Amino acid sequence: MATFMWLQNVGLLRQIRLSLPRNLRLCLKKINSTSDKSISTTCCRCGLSSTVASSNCKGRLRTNNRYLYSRCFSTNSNVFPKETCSPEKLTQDELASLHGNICKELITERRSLQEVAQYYFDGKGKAFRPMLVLLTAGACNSHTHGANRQLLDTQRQIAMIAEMIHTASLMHDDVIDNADTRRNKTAINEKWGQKKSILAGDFVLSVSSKVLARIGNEEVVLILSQVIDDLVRGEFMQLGSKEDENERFSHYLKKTFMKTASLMAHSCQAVAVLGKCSDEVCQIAFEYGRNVGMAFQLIDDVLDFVSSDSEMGKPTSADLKLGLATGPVLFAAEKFPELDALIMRRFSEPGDVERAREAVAKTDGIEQTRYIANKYSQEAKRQISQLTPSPASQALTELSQRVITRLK
Amino acid sequence: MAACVVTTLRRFPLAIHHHGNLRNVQLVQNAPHKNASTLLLQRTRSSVQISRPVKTGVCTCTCSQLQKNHGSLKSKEPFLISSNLAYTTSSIFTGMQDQVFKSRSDTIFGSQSLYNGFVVAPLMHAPNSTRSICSSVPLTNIHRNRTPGGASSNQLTGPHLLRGTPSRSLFGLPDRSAWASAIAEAEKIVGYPTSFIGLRCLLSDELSNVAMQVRKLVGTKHPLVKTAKNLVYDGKHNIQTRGLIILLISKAAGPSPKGTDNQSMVRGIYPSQRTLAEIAEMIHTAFLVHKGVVNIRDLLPSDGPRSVMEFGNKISVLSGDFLLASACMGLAKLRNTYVVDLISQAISDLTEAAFMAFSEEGAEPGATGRGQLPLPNLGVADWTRYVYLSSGSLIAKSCRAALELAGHGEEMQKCAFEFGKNIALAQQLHQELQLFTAFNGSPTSFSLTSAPVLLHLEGSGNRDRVSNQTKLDMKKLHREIRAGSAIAKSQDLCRTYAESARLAISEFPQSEARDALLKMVKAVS
Repeated sequence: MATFMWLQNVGLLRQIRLSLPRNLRLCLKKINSTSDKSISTTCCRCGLSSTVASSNCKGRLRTNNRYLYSRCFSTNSNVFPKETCSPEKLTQDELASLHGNICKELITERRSLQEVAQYYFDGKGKAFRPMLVLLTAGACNSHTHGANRQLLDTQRQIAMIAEMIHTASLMHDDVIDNADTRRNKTAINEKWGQKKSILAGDFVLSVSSKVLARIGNEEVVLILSQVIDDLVRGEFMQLGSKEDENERFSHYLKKTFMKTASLMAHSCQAVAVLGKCSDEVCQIAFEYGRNVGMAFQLIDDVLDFVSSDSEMGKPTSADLKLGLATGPVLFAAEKFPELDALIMRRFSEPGDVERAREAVAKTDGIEQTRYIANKYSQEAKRQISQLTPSPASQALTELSQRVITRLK
Repeated sequence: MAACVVTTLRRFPLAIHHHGNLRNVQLVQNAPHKNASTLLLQRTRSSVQISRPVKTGVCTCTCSQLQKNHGSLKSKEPFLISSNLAYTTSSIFTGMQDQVFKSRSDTIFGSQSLYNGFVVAPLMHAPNSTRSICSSVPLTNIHRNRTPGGASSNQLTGPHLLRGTPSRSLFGLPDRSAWASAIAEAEKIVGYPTSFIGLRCLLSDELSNVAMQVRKLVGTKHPLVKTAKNLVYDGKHNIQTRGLIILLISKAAGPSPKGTDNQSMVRGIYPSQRTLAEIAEMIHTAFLVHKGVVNIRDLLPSDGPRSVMEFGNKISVLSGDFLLASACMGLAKLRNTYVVDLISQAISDLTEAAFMAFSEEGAEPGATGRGQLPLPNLGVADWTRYVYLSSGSLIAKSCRAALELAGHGEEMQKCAFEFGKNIALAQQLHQELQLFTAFNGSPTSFSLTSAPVLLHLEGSGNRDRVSNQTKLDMKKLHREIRAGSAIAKSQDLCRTYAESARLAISEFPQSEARDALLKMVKAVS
């Protein structure tokens, strides 16, 4: 609520309150009374202890509304007009050149390699990670060096590297998962064969680490190497499942951190380090990235249940078909212990996937997962509110909200 | 035919742990001499310990010999033992389905494979070892089972291996060539055998997980199984030498000219340089594993069920990624961005090589030809480029990086780079030449993209004549190449590379490490 305090101090709050529509004014009143009760998450690297996550989630659902109010509050309380502070607006110029720049880095003598390596860099992806990284860089820069501070080239490169590492991991994941489609086009393994996909993935990774090395900052190299390590370890964690219920949930969250949040957290941290920000700010950037990443993936897992193939651009129920038990199923298993057997055999028998889907539909597994995602999103907002308000930080707040409301 | 060859690894104690339901035998070898080795047999069953020396001849003994000397080894089955550091042992034994093989070895990746009925499983025992690295690529034996297609011939080098009898199992004797002895001496200089994968890495949960999964692949045709087997024994002595060269050149270059920062040397080598050698080996291995990923669509029904191959791919991708990620972490911890840059370039080069025409199915140097000529415009220049990208680059850039880590100047680094590049080229060419010059080299096991073939084709009119044949006669081509001038040209080329390598380090101060490098150069020229 630092923003809130700040607004009160400069006497802007009154103005804002007056300009708000009536229902939001009500919200604001409510938030005033409940703001200090906001739940701060505890934890290791994945943020949420499993006991917090799995116990009495349902009871907490009722209090959920509070967060919706706070959302109204936080997206409207900033001094910057909303239309100029949308994440897209702020990053469109940078993002427009991003894929071209990546493709430039991937140019090589071997045309056949270049073709495979550039296949996913067609500019049609969401480019969520680069956007996040660029905005974080902007927010950290204005916090530390004042509003006029421009992005550094090295920070732009981190955005590129984040997208490259992400895509390289997709190239490998598609082979591992035997994917057919990705981003509404033929998956790389279908198009070029498994062997080329893997080697091209390695190539993208090596080029990204070349770009990283040329930034010339040892600490940043260390930070982003951690991401690669986490990605692989996360993939390994997916191979096994835990029998114990509590352990299973923390296993799931840890895996989620490693496979998704780690990249966002560490690349946000890296741009803060490059922006010569204080350790405190670097930590805020890391925590913001981590929380957004966790929320992002949890919602991804929810969408795997609720949306259709064409919306997502990739097949849904994919996780179940791969034998992965994600949040909604784990919650459903609390109510239907017979799901445990299915989880353990990784939904390998005919009818397992359907049974799991039905069980999820009967319980509030989806809502509970959303609830946790919501909490991560709240925490992300809290983190970013510690920075000086700026268009970028406002966009980050919006981004953390959009992560949980997105439909694809 | 039951056969057992126990080869001992020079200075290192050999331990064979054989957990059976009938016996519990531990063979411990202590302090082997240069030629003859002594094996001590300890029977630990029912707490009786008998330690008796076993005469083993020149580093080898047969199962029957063992049996003669010790009634305790009742097995008629052949088993093969390779050695490592005291805590690492590989053992291969066959046919004992009922054997309970309970040990940490079950969980080690890269070392567990069943190849033609052989289980390869190194034991990892490092409870109180502080050494951070281990070697698991000893020089021991190779098992070759002749399949009708002769598909395994590409892993074999050296004339003795080609002289195989068609018995069910055949163990070749350790390679006693000039190269092998050059390596043997070089290893002594750097302290202990070069690492191949960090012990920490091998003992991690992730790889234990993989090992469990690899078991399911045993007996299938997925290339991962073969790669895993080759990790335990690489027929070309190739895997280990990468790291060895890096260590030797580090030592030959000497201590940092800028005075030591916070590193202290161990046997003339900085810890960071040892890490780098380890990283180079990991990257190389990761690529071997990744190159073994198969295209599901190209599979033939004879390759086995699709699901198995998909599973094999999955494990290959994961284990290769794991090695790469460990290498990345290790690199970052060296805290030198120039080194990270160099090694990243080397990884790019490796992938580029994999996309060259040479890497197409069956065209890899060393692979048997498929009766088809390579692309018509492939020449020796392409060969050089390919060999540089696929093996020279990693060695050359690692050598350079090793000197950078010690703070040596640009001049020295360039020399190290040139040395690494040229020795890799010379070594590859030397190997390819063996198939033509060896006393009884097999006339069909050469690759159509090997340098002697390409040189032959570049000779006047040869290409037209050969490509006009409807079906390529490998034997005839072999005869032609032997009779023509291509061999002499290849030998000249090989000598040129070796000479460049020699010149590159001639400015280094005289030392035993430099002598060892020169000896290696000599062995491949």
